[in-house]
Parts: sequence; structure tokens; C-alpha cells
Amino acid sequence: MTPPVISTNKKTAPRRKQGAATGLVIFSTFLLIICIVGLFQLSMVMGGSRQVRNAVDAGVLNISKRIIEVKVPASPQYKDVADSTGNIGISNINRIWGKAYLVNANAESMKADGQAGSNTETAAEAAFGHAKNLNDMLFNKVSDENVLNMYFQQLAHQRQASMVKADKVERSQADTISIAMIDRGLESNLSYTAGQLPDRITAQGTTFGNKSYLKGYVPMQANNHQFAFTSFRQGEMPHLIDDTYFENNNAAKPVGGAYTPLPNAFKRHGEVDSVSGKLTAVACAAANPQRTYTLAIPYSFVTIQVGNTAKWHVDQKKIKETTYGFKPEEQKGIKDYPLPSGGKLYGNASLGNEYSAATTLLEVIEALPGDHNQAFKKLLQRIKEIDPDFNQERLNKLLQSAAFNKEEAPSASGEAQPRKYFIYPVYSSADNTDPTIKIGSDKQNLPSWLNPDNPPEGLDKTVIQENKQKDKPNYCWGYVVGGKSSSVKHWTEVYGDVLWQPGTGFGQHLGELRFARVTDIYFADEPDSGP
Amino acid sequence: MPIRKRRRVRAQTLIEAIAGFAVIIPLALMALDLTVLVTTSQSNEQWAELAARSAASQANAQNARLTAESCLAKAKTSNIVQSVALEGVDYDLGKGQVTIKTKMLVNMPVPFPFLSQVECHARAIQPIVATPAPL
Repeated sequence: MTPPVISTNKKTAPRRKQGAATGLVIFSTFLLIICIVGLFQLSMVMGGSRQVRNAVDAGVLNISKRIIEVKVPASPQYKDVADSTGNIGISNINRIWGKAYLVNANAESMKADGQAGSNTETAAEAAFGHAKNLNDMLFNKVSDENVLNMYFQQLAHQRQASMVKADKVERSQADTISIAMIDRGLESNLSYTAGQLPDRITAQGTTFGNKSYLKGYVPMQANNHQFAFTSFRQGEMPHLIDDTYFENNNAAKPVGGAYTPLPNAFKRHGEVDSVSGKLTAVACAAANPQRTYTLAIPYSFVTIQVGNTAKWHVDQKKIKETTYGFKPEEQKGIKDYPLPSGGKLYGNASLGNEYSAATTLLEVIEALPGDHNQAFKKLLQRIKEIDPDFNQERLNKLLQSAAFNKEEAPSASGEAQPRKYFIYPVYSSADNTDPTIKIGSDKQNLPSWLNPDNPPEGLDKTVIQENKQKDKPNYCWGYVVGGKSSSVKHWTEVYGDVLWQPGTGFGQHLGELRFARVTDIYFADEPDSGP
Repeated sequence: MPIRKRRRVRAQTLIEAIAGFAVIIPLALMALDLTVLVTTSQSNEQWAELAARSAASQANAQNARLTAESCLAKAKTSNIVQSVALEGVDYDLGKGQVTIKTKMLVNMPVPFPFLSQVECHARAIQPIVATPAPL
């Protein structure tokens, strides 16, 4: 069998020598053009992507900057910590909680000291409730998607992604949490000083520079309520933050406490529809109002009251009580009092001598010896709730500056009335942040916000007892008519009780320091054997 | 006669190649110019962005301008990027925004007639973040 013959001399068509280079050139040119166009498009998309990123960054930064403009009107109880327009925003929300915290800290301390009155708990609960209402109202506005989008688009709409032919950057719908509480455990924008809080209450603070600040997003206990402040780092402006940091602290991760504190960071997604497709970007930014406040109850006051009582005793039995003023005076307290041994007692006393050299309130307070600093400590702690920088030295100067008018104001009963002095702040700033502590006794000259008739909610308790002095500076004498002897044994004991009646501050009154001066006047039915 | 024919073919290929290069080379050079133009334009936008961000962290217009200028002074110039300059600053506290305009002078690596130098303009807007919350 003959194998098939395969022809090996099959002739191919002769290659055309003409135009071979032209084809190559055309192909190369075409390839080059494709490469150029491709690279150009890629470069434009990359540039456009960067433009979108920058626009979203700017938009989110605009939220962080402008979120301070979102406000709610302050309730009357918190007008004193509102801004100059009477509103509460993210910048001063910590002031609200600061006041509520102080009120509740005062209430807890009053309970522990056994000085809580029937209105103490009511005031503390009201302070917390009103603060929570304001917080919740503001939280709803601050976390409202429409509000966040408005601020985002306010800037993002002005930004173009010209490289991808998009004239504005829009927000995009993204199923993510758009608020966060970052910088947990770091400083808030509320500073405080040592000794500002009542005994037994310890704040969670952190130091920055030479100041102490309440920690942000760390619940603090007072009167069985937990208070959490919003962190705002000192010396920082609104700035972009890392997405991971945002997510690690987003609002889904609870801070703790009975309410959700306001957020301090925001996140947005932005997008553009370009010819080359949809370009998206995401950015997160931290807000910072760059305004620091002090822990305080701006519209509050304390009072000092000084009153004098003479207690008349015969044979250790109190038979009469009178009041006396601040000028030396003679009182004929006992007249025609029948003595068991026969005869009638006439008893007199020289009173008010303890104030003979006193011209100022401080001198009146220190008219009798005693550890007045113990009493001043209570007063000072409360004044620090108005002005954290106030101290003992300034208190002494203030009391020394208060001239004491010894003239009696006419009273309906004709009896000497106790004198009351108000220690209160005045402010020159519209947001009540620069207290100047004043003292005055004239109700007419008090600030219009001050309600002098608001009592402190607590019960009074003796803080110190002034040293008892016998027969000085007040003294007595007596005589008997118709008895065996015309003389009668007599002596005086002069002392004072210093009482402290605390208030929570929710009703303005933070407490009253009362100096109750007493002159006990004794007569005994026996002949006077003394000098 | 065959030699002449071979020569003619070679010459034709050479002419075709030259004609091809005459198209490809200008295209390649234009592509180079285009690449430089796109790159520098994007770089100019980034400088405008940086300048706007630094200006936004200043509390007044004067400082904003100074900061933006000092920011742009950091831009490295070369034979291609001749200069990056501040064209305008609009520090608007009312709107709470600062707008920065920059101008970059770019020398084309392959100068063409009427296209030896290009001005790139960029504009960036940022919110002014230096102002504290009102009282």
C-alpha cells in the first residue's frame, strides 16, 4: 500500500513588502493612543477620587464645626448655665450636667450628715430630671440625620469633583452609625477645683496643664444618679479622626449611666455620580467648642445670719427670753418676780457689749472666741460652688469689707431682729462665667435673679459652739425688794452656737451660717457673796 | 535590475518608518506633556487643599493668609513646576469658611508652539475651625 503523499511544497502567498511598516506604525499609534487615553482616564478617576475624599473631609469637618449651632432653649431652672441667647448646645451641655451634679452631690452630703429636709430629695430629683430632659432633646437634634446632612451638604455642595465631571458631592445613604463618643476618660470642658465638692463626694477628674477637669464619658455617682460628661480635649479644634477610632467608640458602645451623653464625633459618607461610575468616600471628625467652663451653680447664694438672745433664769429656771441688738444696751428683764424666800426680784443686764468694738461683719462674727474656721469651711465649700477660685483669704476680706450697721431697723414687734447678709455673685459676661463675689444685707440692692426668700432645703445643725464666758462681756445685776436681803446672787454666761443649714442650690440658696449668740442671765435666791 | 528593486523596497520601508515616527513621536511627546499637566494640576489641588486646611485653623484673615503662604512655600519647585503661589484668600467669618485659590506655573517638558508654559488654578474651601463657640 502506498502511503499518502504529503505535499511539502505548498506555496504560500508572497508577503507584500510594501506597507508592512505602515501597518506596524498604525498599530503602534493606535496602541499608544489607547494607552494614553487609558492612563488619562485612570489619572482623572484617581484625581476625582481625591477630590471626592477632600470634599467629604471638608463636609464632615463642617459638621464638627457647626454642630455647636444646634441648640435647645434652656428651662428656667438652668437659665444661669445657658449661653448668652438662653440656649443650651453641645458647648455648654457639660455646664448643665455640672450644676445637676453639684445639686445632687449636695443632697447626698446632706443626707449623710443627717441634714436632709423634706425638700432635699425633691430638689435633687428635679435637678436631674430637668437636666436629662434638656440632654435628651439636644441629643435628638444633634444626632438627627437631617441636621447632619444639612451641615455636610452646606460645604460638600460647594466642592466639585471636576476631574470626574461632577459639580457637587452628595451625601450617600449608608447603614452605619454616624455619631460617636470618642476620647472616653479624657478631659471634658468643665474644670473644677479641690474643695469644690462637698465631703464624701469624689469626682472623676483628670489634669491638663495646671487645671483639673471632670473626665468625659466616665459615669460619676452622686445621690444614686450617674452623671457622664462629654469629652472635649483642651487645646484642640474640630479635626478629622481615624475611622477605626470612630468605630471603636461609636454610639452603639455604651458609656453607662441613665442617659446617653452627647456625642463628640461625627461620620458621613459622600459620593458623586461620574461618567466613570460612582465614587464614594467616608470621613470622621471630632467636634470641639474650644470653650471651657467651670463647675458651678452661677445663680446661687449663701447667707450669714447673726442674732442675739438673752435668756433670763431665776434659780436655774428660765423665765423669760428676749432679744438684743448690736449696741450695748441695758435691759430690765425681770420685774416684780416673787422669790421663794420672800421679796420681789428686779433683774437687769447689760447686753450687746460683745459688739462694742465691732465695725465689720467679720468683727461681729469673731466677737466671741471659738474655732470659726470650722464654720467657715462649710460656707467656703458652698461659695466655691459659685466661684471655684474663692478661698479663705478672700472670704475673710469679704467679711471684713462688709460694714456692720449697728443701728436697729425698726421691726413690728419692737424686738431686735437678727441680721442677715447675702453672699452672691455678680457677672459682667453674658453667659455668667466671671463671678465676682459680693456681700450685702440690703434686699433692695441684690441682683434681680436672686430670690432672697428661697430657704435652704436642709436642716440646721450646730457646727461649733463658741467658748462660754462668764460675766463678760455681758453682765447682770439685781436687787430684791421686801426680802431678807436686798442682794441676790447673779451671773451671766455668754456663748454662741454656730449652726449650718445646707441647701442644694437648686432653689438658689446654698446654705445659711447662723451665729446664735446667747447670754444666759442667772439669778439665784441667795445673798450675793461675790465681789 | 534586482538590486534597484531591493533598494526601492528598503527605501519605502524607511520612508514608512519615518512617517510613522513622525506621528508616534509627537503623540508620545504630547502624552508626556499631558501626563505632566495632569500630575501638576492634581498636585496644585492638593497644595490648595493643604493651604486651605492650615488657613482654616487660624483665627483671623491676616494669619490665615500668612499660614497659607507659608504652607505653599513648602512646595518644591523644579524645572517643570516653576512656582506655586497664593492667588487669593477669602476668609469669611460670616459664612465660617475660608476659600484659598492657588496658581501653579508649569513649564511643559516638551514645549510646543504657544504651549510652553501653563497656569494651573485650584480652589479649595474649608470650614474655619479656629473660632470658639459663641458665648
